[in-house]
Amino acid sequence: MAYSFSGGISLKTENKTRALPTKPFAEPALVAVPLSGCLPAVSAGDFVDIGTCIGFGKTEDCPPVHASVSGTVVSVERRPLDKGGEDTFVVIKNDCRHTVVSGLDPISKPLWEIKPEEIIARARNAGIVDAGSGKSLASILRAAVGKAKRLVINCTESQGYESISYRVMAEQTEAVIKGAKLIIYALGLRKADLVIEEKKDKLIAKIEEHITDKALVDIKQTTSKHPISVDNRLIYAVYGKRVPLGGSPLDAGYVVIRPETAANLYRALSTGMPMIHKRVTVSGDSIKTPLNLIVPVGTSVKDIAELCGGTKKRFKRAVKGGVFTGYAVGENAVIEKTDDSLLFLSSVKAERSGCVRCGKCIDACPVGLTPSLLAAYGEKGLYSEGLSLGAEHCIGCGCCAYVCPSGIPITALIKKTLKEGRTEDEQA
Amino acid sequence: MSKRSIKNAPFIHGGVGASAIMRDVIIALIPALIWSVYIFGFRALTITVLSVASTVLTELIFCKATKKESTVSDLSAVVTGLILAFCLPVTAPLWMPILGGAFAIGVVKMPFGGLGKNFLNPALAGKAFLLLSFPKVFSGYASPATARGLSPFAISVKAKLVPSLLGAVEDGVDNNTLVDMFYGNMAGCIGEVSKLCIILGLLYLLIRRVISWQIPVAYLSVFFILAFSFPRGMDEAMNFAIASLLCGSVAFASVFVATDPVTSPMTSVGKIIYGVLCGGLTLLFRYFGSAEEGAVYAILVANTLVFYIDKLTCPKKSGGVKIGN
Ligand code: SF4
Ligand code: SF4
Repeated sequence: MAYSFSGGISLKTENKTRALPTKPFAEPALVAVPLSGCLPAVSAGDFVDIGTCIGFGKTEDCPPVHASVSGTVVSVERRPLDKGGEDTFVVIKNDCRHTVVSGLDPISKPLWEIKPEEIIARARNAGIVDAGSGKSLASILRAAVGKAKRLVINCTESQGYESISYRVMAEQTEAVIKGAKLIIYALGLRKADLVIEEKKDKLIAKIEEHITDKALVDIKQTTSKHPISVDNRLIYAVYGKRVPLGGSPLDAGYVVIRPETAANLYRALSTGMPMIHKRVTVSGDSIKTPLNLIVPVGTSVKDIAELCGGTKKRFKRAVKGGVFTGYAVGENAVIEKTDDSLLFLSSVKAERSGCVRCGKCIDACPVGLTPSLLAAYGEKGLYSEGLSLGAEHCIGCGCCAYVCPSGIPITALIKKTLKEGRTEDEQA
Repeated sequence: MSKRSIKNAPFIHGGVGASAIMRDVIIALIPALIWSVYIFGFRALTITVLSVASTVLTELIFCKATKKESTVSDLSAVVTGLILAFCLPVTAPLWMPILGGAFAIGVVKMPFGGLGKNFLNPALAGKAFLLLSFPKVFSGYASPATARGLSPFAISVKAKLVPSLLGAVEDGVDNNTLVDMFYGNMAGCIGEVSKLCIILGLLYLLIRRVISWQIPVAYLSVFFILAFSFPRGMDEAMNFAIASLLCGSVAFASVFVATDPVTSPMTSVGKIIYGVLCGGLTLLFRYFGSAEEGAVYAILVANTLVFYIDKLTCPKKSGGVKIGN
């Protein structure tokens, strides 16, 4: 039996990009690499190679950032982000010569001679970021030392379009498993679980071929209902452990990362090359050719749309972060290390009426809230009532708004409640 | 109907809107409509058409008068009209569906704010209103043979009425009559007679996930068990219980009226409580009330308690088991 949870929704549409092998895309004319809070290490006019450090991390938990193409730095500028806030971007003009920085330092000694400390330090220096949690791998590992009991590689993708974890598992099986072993070793754990949705039989058979020691790395199969891919839901479904409100899976003893992160760690150690590429699924109903891509970090939405044959007429907005939980971005937005997908969507309309009290949202909510009431409170501006009904437990999965026959933007109203309610609290 | 274009996550919608749900309810009611025309003749159709016209027009006029966008296209008024008509006898004068429909929409539904805001089921309240105001019309029913001879367009008709089968049930019913009651070859309200058609509708609604099983199952099983445990009259309990289930409006009401999302509880547990309540009250009204249409009053009473059932069963911050990450 596959592990499951109550609530959630089963999407009927097939995920078409799963069958598409990943294509490398190395030639954007311009990239704008976000520094994610790092201090710029280059200035306009500097020449950079692939892998040149362009941003220093200020703290241990803030890893360095590297150039993803070779060429000349055009500018170092502040830009607003579509999800809110702003960031420093290093804009590099690609000379397409693919010169690689000198002095890459792959590890050649056998595993048992590497110290756990060194693995974590290298994860940091390679600038590896995990797309699932949005945190740097080094900080995840450092926090987990002595606290974690098990490593969980979350290979599930339940939002209907993403398929990069699937592709990584299919194309980089060996690297993922080796990366997982490195982490187990670095943290002194006994076991890693590869958690994957059921019915991916071919893929699972393939992974099993690569697993040599089941006691060390094992496969666990889950339902494919959304939002199984959300870490906390996954931990609850598979291990029956609840993550405390506001906490991370680590509070329940689990280190959760995506397979791409494990593969990146292995590659960083074996080749010395830092994380400069990101895998993304480019899909949605308004892109001409959906693709799985490996792109240099900092490639713009516009370039990707062009590469995928352009957008269809009905194109309305680009969305990062999944159709259920993502946010809209402009054409100048760039692929960051935390992006798994870039969707080009048409305008979606939902019939709008008053709540008909059907209770479908209650049945769909995976954390057992009463979304209809929360939405009503949110609409009326009764934020503290919303909070007292558990609005803070909402994981923003979007299941309620998806099923609501009255087309009430429930998820957005709950987010509003959280935002306004918290500021109200602060003022009080 | 008004549409909203989605601007925030989730950038996707399941696509099932209120009108799609109402459309499914209408489809589920069609077998009963066909049967009613077959068994009672075209007067049944006239009554149905008038009732639907009345509910839809009343809603339209109400929206116009209050300067709101018309909500007719959500089809809920059509459903109300159909259900109201199905609760009337074929001998009802033709102004009755019109008056009942206007009352249902103009008094019970729209003044509270329209679909979703009314706390009583409009069709049922309309029927109760007619039942209380014109009890004579409901005092007996024309047998199918008589009904077929009635003019579809005469405002009021005179026909030989037979009392409802409820009285007969106490004296025991033979098996042939039970079979007739199941197929709907009996005197009664237009859409309520054929249990077969009601079952077809129920299955369709369940398959399309328009309703969930809790309310009809809890309702009918509690009703059946109670009727079996406290049989009336001399006959054996089983016969009495089955006959009770097959006569009157209980089958129709449990499938099409009690399941109305607006006036029933939202959670599964709440729905079971509500179903049990409806089942028990229906029998009580049948036993101790003068009203033979126990289901009508039972559901209306239960409607008023939904608020408290929801309060009891909707997940709360600490009480709900499922809550939390
Ligand atoms: S209330 Fe929050 S957690 Fe529940 S379904 Fe809606 S978005 Fe998901
Ligand atoms: S799904 Fe929508 S219409 Fe149904 S109860 Fe929830 S908020 Fe109301």
